[in-house]
Amino acid sequence: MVQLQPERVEPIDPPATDRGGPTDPPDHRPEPPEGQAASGIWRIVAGREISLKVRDKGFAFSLLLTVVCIGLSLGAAVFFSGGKETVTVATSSATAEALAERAGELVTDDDLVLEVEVLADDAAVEAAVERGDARVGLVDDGTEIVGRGSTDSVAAGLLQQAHAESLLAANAAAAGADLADLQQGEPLDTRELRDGQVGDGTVRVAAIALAGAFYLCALMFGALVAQSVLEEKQNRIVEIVASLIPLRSLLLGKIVGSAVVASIQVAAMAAAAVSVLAVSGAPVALPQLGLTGVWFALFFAVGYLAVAALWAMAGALATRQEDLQHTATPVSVLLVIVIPVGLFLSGNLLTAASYVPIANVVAMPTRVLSGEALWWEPLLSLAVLAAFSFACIRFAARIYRRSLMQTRQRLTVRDALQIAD
Amino acid sequence: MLEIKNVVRRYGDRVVVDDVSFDVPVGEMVGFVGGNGAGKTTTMRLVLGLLAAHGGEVHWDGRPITADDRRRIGYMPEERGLYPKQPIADQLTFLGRLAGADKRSARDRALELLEGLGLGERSGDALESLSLGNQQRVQVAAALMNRPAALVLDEPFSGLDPRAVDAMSELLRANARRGVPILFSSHQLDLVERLCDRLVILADGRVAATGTPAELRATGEVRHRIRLGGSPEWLRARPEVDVLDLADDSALLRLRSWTTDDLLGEATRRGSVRELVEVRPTLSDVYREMTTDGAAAA
Repeated sequence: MVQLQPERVEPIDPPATDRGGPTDPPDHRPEPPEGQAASGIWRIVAGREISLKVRDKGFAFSLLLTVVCIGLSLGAAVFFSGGKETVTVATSSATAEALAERAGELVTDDDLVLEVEVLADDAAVEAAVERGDARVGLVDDGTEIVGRGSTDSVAAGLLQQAHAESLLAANAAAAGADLADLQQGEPLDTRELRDGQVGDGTVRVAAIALAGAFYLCALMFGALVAQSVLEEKQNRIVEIVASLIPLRSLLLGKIVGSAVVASIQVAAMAAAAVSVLAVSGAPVALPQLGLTGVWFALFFAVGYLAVAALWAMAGALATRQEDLQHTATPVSVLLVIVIPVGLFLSGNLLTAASYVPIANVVAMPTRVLSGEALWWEPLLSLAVLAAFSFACIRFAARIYRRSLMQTRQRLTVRDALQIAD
Repeated sequence: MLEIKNVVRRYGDRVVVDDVSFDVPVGEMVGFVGGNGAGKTTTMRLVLGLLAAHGGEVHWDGRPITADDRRRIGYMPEERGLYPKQPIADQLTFLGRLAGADKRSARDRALELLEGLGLGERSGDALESLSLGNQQRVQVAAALMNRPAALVLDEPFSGLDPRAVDAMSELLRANARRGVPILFSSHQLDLVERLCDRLVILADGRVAATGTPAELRATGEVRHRIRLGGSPEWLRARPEVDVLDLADDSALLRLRSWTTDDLLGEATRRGSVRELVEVRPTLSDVYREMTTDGAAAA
């Protein structure tokens, strides 16, 4: 091998006249601020991520569409469930009519009306039931209930009750007793243990909605983070950026930027849902629902940081678009665990899940809604989630830094950990 | 001045940069040549701190280089790196802001650079809508965004047409004239020879040679071509020369114990001599010789 030791060549010509533009002398450039590199520079990255997204017509459109869809579907649900149900009872005799009128008085449900229709004869009553004009018919002088395929249980129950009353009155009179005496005593009292709180059905529906919202947003916006990281890795701009700022600042900026955009979407969805319910006058505990929305938005924002960090890691490990379905497996699994939390968990299991990171994004707001959670519980759970997100970001940053210069093939987490810095 | 001192980088057990040392003095253009996998890109990444060195140091102005020094190096990666779908002025502004400039001055600088490169009217266009030559110019603008104190360019000439090569050469020369040390890698040895003040030849992760183009050429072996009246076949039997190439009436020779006078004497004794010339090695010859030696030594 030839190893030369050439003479030192002195710097040549002094700088020529300044023409500006691409050849400015190096000493004119501004000094980069010292502290900015480490602390604040991620904000520039985050700001850029947010402004790119917000200016993107697709994002604005999907946000609008989501809000409109939520509004319409909730509005429709309230509209259709809010109307009164009318059950028609057809009769043909005065006795039957009196019985049906009494059954109508016995209705306790505000949303149910029992309407009595008097027809010419029993044949007309049966024909009306057959056609579906009447839900039930009372024939044979009020001694027989007819239904088409099956008998309406509510109407039949009320008619039976009215019939039993009239039998009792008749029998009491025959025995020389007063009906009022026979009915003396207190009726059964009703007491709801969770008075003034949201019913179990509403809590379940809300839990499913929260789980769905988290899953969809975390998947949709998270996948965008992975794609953006992969794109920067593929087209090598990451090398230029890494020569200017620490890679962890780039990662943090991307994660926070994405979290802000995703949280805007979630907050818009929550606000749309709560406002539609408020406007519609649906019988729900609005303050409780609003509080739940706020907690969910908070949990989402913090939990999403962890999710976005793991998505970024998936992007950094990949070298091509097709690799993402492999490298994103861990984060996909993590997201899937929120679905059963929304669908099935209750009681002690729900309480436990409300402290497990990522599951608690759905579980704790659900407990807030049902009124189970004590005031300090969401705070503690949020702190646990924040610690988890912090750990995820640190871990992802390590993988990210080591994977970005590896463009030959897809890496596993283990491969990436073995790469020297 | 940029000084690379005994840097080492391993991937697992494989040493890809092995004790590499060279300088890039102020105002000089240093050409970095070597085959694929010789370690050029890795060395450049070590200079920029994109990879950590496992040994040795990089110095700037006589002291170990800092992160802030590195931010003043304009860099162009081998596989071009910018956002294809975004407006060019926007991405240059972003890079300027990352380098520490405020939004307004970064924007002004980006527009000024694009104007200087003849792309002023396209500042709002997406990168991918430009021709490849123009995309390359934007890439150069990205490296110059920060009014760099040094330039490190990985294959800046690859994929350029001859006119774009000239424009890029002039741009680099102009920056060098202003005192910017420039390190660039290239496979185009003729270009490197024409442009560079000095070369660093890398083979298998080691510096095979450094020097000015003239110095490197001088280390190559001088050969001789002789053209005779008759067949030069007899030269094969002479132990005083090595026959490198033989044609009907001429031969390319490496002289062993003979001088040119000995050769001429013997040839004229055997018949007529029409031509005897010294064949000086080109830089490509020297490069091939050194990288082959380097590979053998490693």
